[in-house]
Amino acid sequence: MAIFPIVIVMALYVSSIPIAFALIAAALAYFTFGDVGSPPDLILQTFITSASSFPLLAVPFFIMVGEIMNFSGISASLMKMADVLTGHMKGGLAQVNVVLSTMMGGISGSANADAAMQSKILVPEMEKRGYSAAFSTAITAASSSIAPVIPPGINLIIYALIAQVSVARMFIGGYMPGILMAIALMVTVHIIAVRRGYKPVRDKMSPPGEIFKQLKHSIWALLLPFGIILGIRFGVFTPTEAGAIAVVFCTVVGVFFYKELRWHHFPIIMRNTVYATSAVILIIVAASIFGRYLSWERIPFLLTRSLMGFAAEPWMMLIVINIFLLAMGMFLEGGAVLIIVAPLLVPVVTAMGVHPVHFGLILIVNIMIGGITPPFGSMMFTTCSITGVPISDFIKEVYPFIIALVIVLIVITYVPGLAMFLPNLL
Amino acid sequence: GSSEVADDDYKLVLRLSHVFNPAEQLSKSMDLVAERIYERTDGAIEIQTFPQAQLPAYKEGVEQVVRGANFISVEDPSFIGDYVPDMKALYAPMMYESFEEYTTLTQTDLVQDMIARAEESGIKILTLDYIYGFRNIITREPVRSPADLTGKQIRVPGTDLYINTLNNMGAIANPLPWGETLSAVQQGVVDGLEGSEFTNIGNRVYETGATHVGLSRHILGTCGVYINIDVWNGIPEQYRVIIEEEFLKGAVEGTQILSDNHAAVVAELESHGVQFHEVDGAAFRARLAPMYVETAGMTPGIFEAVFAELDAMRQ
Amino acid sequence: MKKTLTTILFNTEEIVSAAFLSVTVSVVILNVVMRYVFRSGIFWVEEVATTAFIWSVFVGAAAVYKRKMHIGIDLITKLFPESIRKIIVIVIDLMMIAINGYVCYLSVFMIQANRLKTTPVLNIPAMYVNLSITVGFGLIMLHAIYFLYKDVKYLITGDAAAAPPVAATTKLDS
Ligand code: NA
Ligand code: NA
Repeated sequence: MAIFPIVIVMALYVSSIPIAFALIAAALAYFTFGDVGSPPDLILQTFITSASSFPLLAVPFFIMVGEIMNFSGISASLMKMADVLTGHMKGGLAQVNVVLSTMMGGISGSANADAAMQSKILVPEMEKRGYSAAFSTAITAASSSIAPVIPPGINLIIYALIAQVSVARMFIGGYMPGILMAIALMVTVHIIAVRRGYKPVRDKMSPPGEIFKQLKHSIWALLLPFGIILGIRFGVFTPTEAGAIAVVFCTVVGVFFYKELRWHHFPIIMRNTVYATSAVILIIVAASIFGRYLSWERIPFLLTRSLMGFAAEPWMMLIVINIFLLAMGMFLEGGAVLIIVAPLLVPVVTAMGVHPVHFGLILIVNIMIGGITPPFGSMMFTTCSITGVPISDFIKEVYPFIIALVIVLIVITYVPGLAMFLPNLL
Repeated sequence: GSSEVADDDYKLVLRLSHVFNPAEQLSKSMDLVAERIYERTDGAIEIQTFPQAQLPAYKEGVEQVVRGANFISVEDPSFIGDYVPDMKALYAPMMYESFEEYTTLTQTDLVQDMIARAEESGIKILTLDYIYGFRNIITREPVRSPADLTGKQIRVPGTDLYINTLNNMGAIANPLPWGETLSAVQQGVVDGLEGSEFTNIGNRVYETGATHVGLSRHILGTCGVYINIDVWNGIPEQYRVIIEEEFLKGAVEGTQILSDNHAAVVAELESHGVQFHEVDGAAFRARLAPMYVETAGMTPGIFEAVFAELDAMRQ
Repeated sequence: MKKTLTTILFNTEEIVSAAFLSVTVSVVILNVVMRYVFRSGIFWVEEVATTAFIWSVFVGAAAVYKRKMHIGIDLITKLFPESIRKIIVIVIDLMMIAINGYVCYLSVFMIQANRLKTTPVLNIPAMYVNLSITVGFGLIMLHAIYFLYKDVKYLITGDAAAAPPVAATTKLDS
C-alpha cells in the first residue's frame, strides 16, 4: 500500500499550499511515480467527471442565494424578526444571534457567510449593550454552525451525493438536529446570561400586534424555506432546481417587495458567487482526484476491514468515529473532512446497520463543531478576524457552547429515532 | 502473441472496474471469477474488483484499456462502438427477444469479426456474454402500444441511445440523475421510468405508484470484458487460457442464475401489486426504424446482416 | 476610459466565469419553466448546464488564485521571521508553477488522446469541455509566474511596493 501521497498532502498543506492544490499534486505524483500501471494523463478525466454532476449545481445556486439575501433586505428583515421574538429574553441579543442563524439557515447554507455577516452586524451591537467582545464573537461563531445543518445546505447535498442517498431526505433530516442545536445554545446562553446578569434588549415580550406587523414584513423571507421544501415534496422541482428557483425568488423579493436590490449589486453578487463557488468546487474536484488514488490502492476497503475489527458493535463504532472526526475537525476544514472521510466511512457504518441518512446527520453536526474548535476552526477564524478578538480569549468563551453542541451530537448519535423521524416520513 | 513460459515468481495485478453495486449478480460473478483465477494460477494473476465505478468506468474505463493500463473494463458493447462502430448495431433497441438470441449472435462470424477488429484498436474482448437483463417500461398507467406512451414523460439515463429510443417509441424522454428519479416518479414530475425487474425490486420502484410494467424489452443489458491487447499478450499463455475460460464460465453461470432469479423477482413484484403487460412489439419496432440506420463509420448493411442472423435463429 | 479598460482586463476571469455561471442558472430555470408550461423538459439542459459550470469553476479558480483566496492554512507566515518567509514564498510559487504547469501539460495530452470523443447528449467534441482544464490551470500557472517575479524582486530589492498582496487566506464556506 503506497502511502506517500498522504505524506505529500500533509507536507504541502502545512507549507501553505492551498488544500486543493496539495490534493491534486499528491494524486498526480501517485499516478506519475507510483506503481500504478496506468498513464498519468488519464486521471485528468476525473477533473471533468467529478465536476459535471447535475446535483452539484445546487452549490453555486445556494451560494448565490446567500449573496442576494445580503443585498435584498432579506437578511435585515430576518434580523428584525429574530429581535421581536427573543429580544425580551435574558441575554436578548445573544438569543437573537442564535435565532437569526437558525432562520438564515432555512435559506442559505453557509456557516462562514452567516458568521461573517453577524460578526459585522450583531457583534458591534452586542458590545454597545455591554456584552464582551469575546462572548459576542463566541456565540456568533457557535450559532453559525446551525445554518448548514438546517436545510438547504451545501454539506447536506454533498453528503447525499457521496452516500448516494436522496437529497430530499437529507434536507428533511437536517431540521431536527438543527433545531436541537439552536435549543442547546439558547439554554447555554440563558444560563450564562443569568449568571452574569446580561439584560434583555426590550423590557417585556413584544405585543402580538408588533409580532404580527413584523411577521407581515418578514413573511416573504420566511416563505422561502417552506416554498423550497414544499416544492421538492410535491414534485414541482428537484432539489437542484430548487436552488435556481430560490435565486429567482430572492431577486424578485429584493426588487419588488423590499425594494433594496439594485442593478449595481449584481456584479458584486456574481463576483462573490464565482469566488466562493470556484474555491469550494475546486476542493471537491481535487478530493475526487485524491479519492481515485485512495480507491486505486483499495484504502477504503482496507480501512473498512480494520475499523470493523477494531469496534465490533455499531455503538462502539460510532464512538470511535465521532472521536476520530472531532479530532480531524480540529485540524482540517469541515467541508474537506466531509469530502475526504465520508466515502471511507459510509460503507463501514452501513455494513454495520447504521442508516446512511442518520450517519450523514451525525457527520455534519460533528464537522460543524470542528469549525468552532481550536486550533483550525474555520468559523473561529472568520469571526475572530472580523471582530479582532484574540483566539485565546475566544477559547475561554466558546467552550460552554462546544459542550452544549457535543451533547446534541451524542443525543443525535444514540437516539436514531430523533434524527430519522422526519426522513422516514418521506 | 508471445508464448513466454511463466517463471515461478510471475505476478500481475489487474484492476477490474464496473458500475454495478455489490448486491447485483454481475458484481458477484466478477468477484467469483477473480477468485477462481487467483486460485487456478496460484496467485500469479490477481484481479482486484472495484464495483460501483470506484475506479474509472464507462468511456473512462475503456480508455484505460485502450491506453495500455493493467486494467479490465466491464462495460456494455456500445462503449466499444467508439472504436469499432459496427458494435453499435448490437446495442440498438428491441433487437433481441431472449437472452439466447444474444449469446448465439455473439458466436457468429459476423460478431467474431468485430471482436477481431477491436484488437486493432488495442482492445482484447474476453467475452461479450455477461447479461443483466431486459429493460422495460415502468409506469403508472399500463403501456401496451406506442399510443399508450404518447405524451408520457419517461425518465432515462442521460445518453443519446436512451433518449432517442424512448422518443422514437412515442414517449418524451426525460434524462434525470438516478438519485432524483424515484422522488420524481412518486411526485409526478415524470410519468415513469424504464429499467429491469431487478432495478424495480432493488429500489422498490413499485412504491412510487408506478406499478405497471410494459414488457417492451427495449434494451437488453449486456456487458463485455475488455483488456488491453499488449497487456494480454504479455501474460504467459497458460494463464491466458485460464483467464479466458473462467470469464466465459462466469458469464454462462451468471446468465443462468439471472434467469432463475428473474422468475422469483417477477413473482415477488406481483405480490406487491405490480402488473405485467405484453406489448405490441411490431408496432414499437416499426417506430424504432430510424435507429436501425448505419451512422458514420459503420459498415453499410450491418443492421440487415444482424437481423438476418436473428431471423435465421427464429425460424 | 483607460481605467475602465484596465478594470475589465484585470477582471476578465471573473467576467468569463460569471458569464458561464449565468448560462448554468438560466438553462436550469428555463427547464423548469418549459416543463410546466409546455409539459416537456429540454433534453440538453443537463449537459449544457454542467459544461458551462465546469468552465465557470476552472476559470473562476484562476481568479480566486489571482486574489490569493484559495483555502489553506497560513502556518508558514506565522511561524517564521520575515527574512526566511521571503524565501519560503518563492519556493511555494515554484511549487505552484510546477503543479499547475504539469496539469496543463497533461491536459494537452488528454485532448490529443480524446480528439475522437464526443459528449454523450449533444455530440460536441470533448475538446470543448476538456480545454477548460488547460485554460484554467494555465492561467493559474501564469499568475504563479507573476507572483514569483514579484517575490524575487522583493527578495532582491527589499522594495515592499514590489511585494504581491499578502495572502488573504480564506476558509471554505461550509
Ligand atoms: Na448567529
Ligand atoms: Na441551511
